[in-house]
Amino acid sequence: MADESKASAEEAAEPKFVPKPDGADPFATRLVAELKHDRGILSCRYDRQSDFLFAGARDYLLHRWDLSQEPVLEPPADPKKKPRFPPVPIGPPESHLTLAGHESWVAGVALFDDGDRMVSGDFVGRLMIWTNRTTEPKPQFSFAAHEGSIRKVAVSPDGNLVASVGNDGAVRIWHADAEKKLHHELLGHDCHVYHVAFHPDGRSLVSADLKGRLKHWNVETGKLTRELDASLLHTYSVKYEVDVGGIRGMTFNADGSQLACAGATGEDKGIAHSGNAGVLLFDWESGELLNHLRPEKKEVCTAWGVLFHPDGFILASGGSRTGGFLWFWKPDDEVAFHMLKFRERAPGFDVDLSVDGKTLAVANHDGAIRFYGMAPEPEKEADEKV
Amino acid sequence: MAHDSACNSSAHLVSRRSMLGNMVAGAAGVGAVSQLVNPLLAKEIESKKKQVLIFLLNGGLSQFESFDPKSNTDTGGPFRKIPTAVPGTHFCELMPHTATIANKLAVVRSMFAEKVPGSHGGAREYVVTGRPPQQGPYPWMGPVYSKLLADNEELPGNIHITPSRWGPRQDAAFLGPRHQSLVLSGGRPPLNVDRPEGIDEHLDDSRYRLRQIADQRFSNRRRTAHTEAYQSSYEQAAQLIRQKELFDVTKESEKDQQRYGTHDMGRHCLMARRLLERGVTCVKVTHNNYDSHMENFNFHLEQLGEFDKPFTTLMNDLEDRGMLDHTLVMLITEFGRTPEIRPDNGRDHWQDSWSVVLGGCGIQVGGVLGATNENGTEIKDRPVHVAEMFHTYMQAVGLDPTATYDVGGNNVPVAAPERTAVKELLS
Repeated sequence: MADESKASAEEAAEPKFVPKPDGADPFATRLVAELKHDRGILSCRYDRQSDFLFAGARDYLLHRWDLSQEPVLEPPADPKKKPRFPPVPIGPPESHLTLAGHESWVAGVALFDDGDRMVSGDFVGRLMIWTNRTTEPKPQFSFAAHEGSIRKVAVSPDGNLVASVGNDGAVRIWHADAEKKLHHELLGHDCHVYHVAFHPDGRSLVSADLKGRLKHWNVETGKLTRELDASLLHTYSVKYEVDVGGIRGMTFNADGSQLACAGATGEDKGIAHSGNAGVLLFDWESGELLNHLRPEKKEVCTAWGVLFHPDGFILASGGSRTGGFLWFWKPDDEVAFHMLKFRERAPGFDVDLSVDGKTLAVANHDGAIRFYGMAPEPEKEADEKV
Repeated sequence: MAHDSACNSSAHLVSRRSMLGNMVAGAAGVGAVSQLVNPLLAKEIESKKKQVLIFLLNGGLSQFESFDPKSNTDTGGPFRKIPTAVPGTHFCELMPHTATIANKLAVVRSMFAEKVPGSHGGAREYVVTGRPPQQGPYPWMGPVYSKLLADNEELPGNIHITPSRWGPRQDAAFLGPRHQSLVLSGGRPPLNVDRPEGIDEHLDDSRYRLRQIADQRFSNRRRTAHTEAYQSSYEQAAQLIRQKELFDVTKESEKDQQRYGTHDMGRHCLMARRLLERGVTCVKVTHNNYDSHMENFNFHLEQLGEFDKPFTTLMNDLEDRGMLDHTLVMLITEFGRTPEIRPDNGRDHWQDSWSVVLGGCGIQVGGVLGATNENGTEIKDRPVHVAEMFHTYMQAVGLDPTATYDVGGNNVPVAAPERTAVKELLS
């Protein structure tokens, strides 16, 4: 907590980003609550009303937490010992529901806008489409969609299609209303495909791979429209003769004019260390690389999750064994205007934003989903008024 | 009398290597090698026909992603376990081909060693010498087999097929450079194996005879271990030049090249078969990139995806040719990897428990020895120390691990005397 408040105070002295009135305040970002699990969390998504959170983890389950249940303060494990950090409210056990059916770690979760369905994919290629997600979720379809791991799934804006990508190098678009009904199989990647996203207009799909290549597909025809180069996020290790890195996080902004890709850039560090966390920002229409967003200081780690905030900034979660981080950028600045180092040494593998834009949910390596509020603590507000 | 090659100095090795090039460095010899061996070892004529095939999965193969899967536990990783040819025994799904030959293998799931200085290098040395590196240098297995199974053979007794960028290593210690590994870096033939342009076979033979005459005159008056070593080096070098096709894997059928795979590991396994078929005593194949502190699952997926099929193909070919009857096969690694999944999706070094696999001659196959607990954090049954395995590797090919070398008048046991072979593994 000390790290967080110190960093916030330093940055507040010379703000490079001015929060909107009543908007999110990145400088005030702080841990407000957490959901605990005994396995690392790989992905997380808020329900559209932010009253539920869905997550994939390093187990064979899809997880749902009911966020309407009041978080509680856990008694310290050893009352005689002073806790290392002030306690953080946690989701009560009864708020947690686990959904079985997967056969490996659940790497990708995406929600339909209909408020009813969701899709998940696992590391052995099983794709599951679920219904009744906020009441009693149950599998509607479950099938083998890829040879090897599914890395990410996506839902089309109209909810009719689901896209999945995986280690077999394939991008597959499925009809969401039928069991294993293929709309298009898109081939062309020659390595693991790590990410996929529908453009907000629903007519385009972009897939992203280990070598930092982006492929823009026409959803209707299944034809390749063009390729974009994000190979800054890839390194070929000469010594080890292997590809390292890849596009680990990817998202469009709301109007689809920009695409952000997260990962790690930098020199060949072999197979024991990643490059340096970074986000590449593309102009979607021209395909031009607009900016290479990076932390103020090089962080030997990977940016795993990235999102556009409606208040006009971009943020990413990431980390490595050196720690976990949130970085905040203005789209036009290369260097992050703010960084939050997590008090727990655990990378954030994914990040999502609550519907009010004020809270971030971060999927952490150490088995917790942590919520970070982007608003000053109420007590501090009171002090300032005095 | 102390033998020159027992001085442990690298200086003379370097000078020979620089003179003869990479090829000769691997094959360089020390004459009068029988002086180094006690009469006990000389009795082991019956093991002369034995051969050894060593796979070194370099960097530290994860036991979880290979032979000791703990699927759907907190340590288990994303991959499933799959049944094998041995009912009740499961491997990780990254080894589907190897699973089909589990009945030809003995799996040890309870290997352990004390931590030793030197990280990978130290741990690797412990595994291949049976002694902690701080007590060494002791000869690695390849040179030991070369010495004890292939002494005085024309072909190098110990050939090491490595990924690119590996050079010769002084792995023979007091056994001398004659038994040092001949390294085929990137699976390519030794350097300088072709005659210089403008020198045909006839001229080369004349040149060689002239050198022999000069050598002979010199040796008549100043015969030492060094001069014998030089002569032996040239003899082996000449043999290699005459038999350079030995290293040309493209001479194998197109069908076989496809069966093994056209990637490096496929070519290296086919090269190993070629060398063994032509009588090389010990062939070691190193496969890299298992040191997966980061992205353990991606790298094991890649590496075992490359390793699994050619390894299985080679095992099947050796069996079809009746070669497993006299060839010991081992699949070793310097240590295992941590049960805990680290923040970079990696696994770190772990010497508390890992897996080793044996097959072929002298081995009781089709079973699993030892066990780890439910999530692989500790050994729960029959711990096996690396030094015990070194004894086992010797005994499986009929060598007596309690025999001694004569090193400068001192008796040095072949294997660490405080340990013994793992009887359960020996047939």
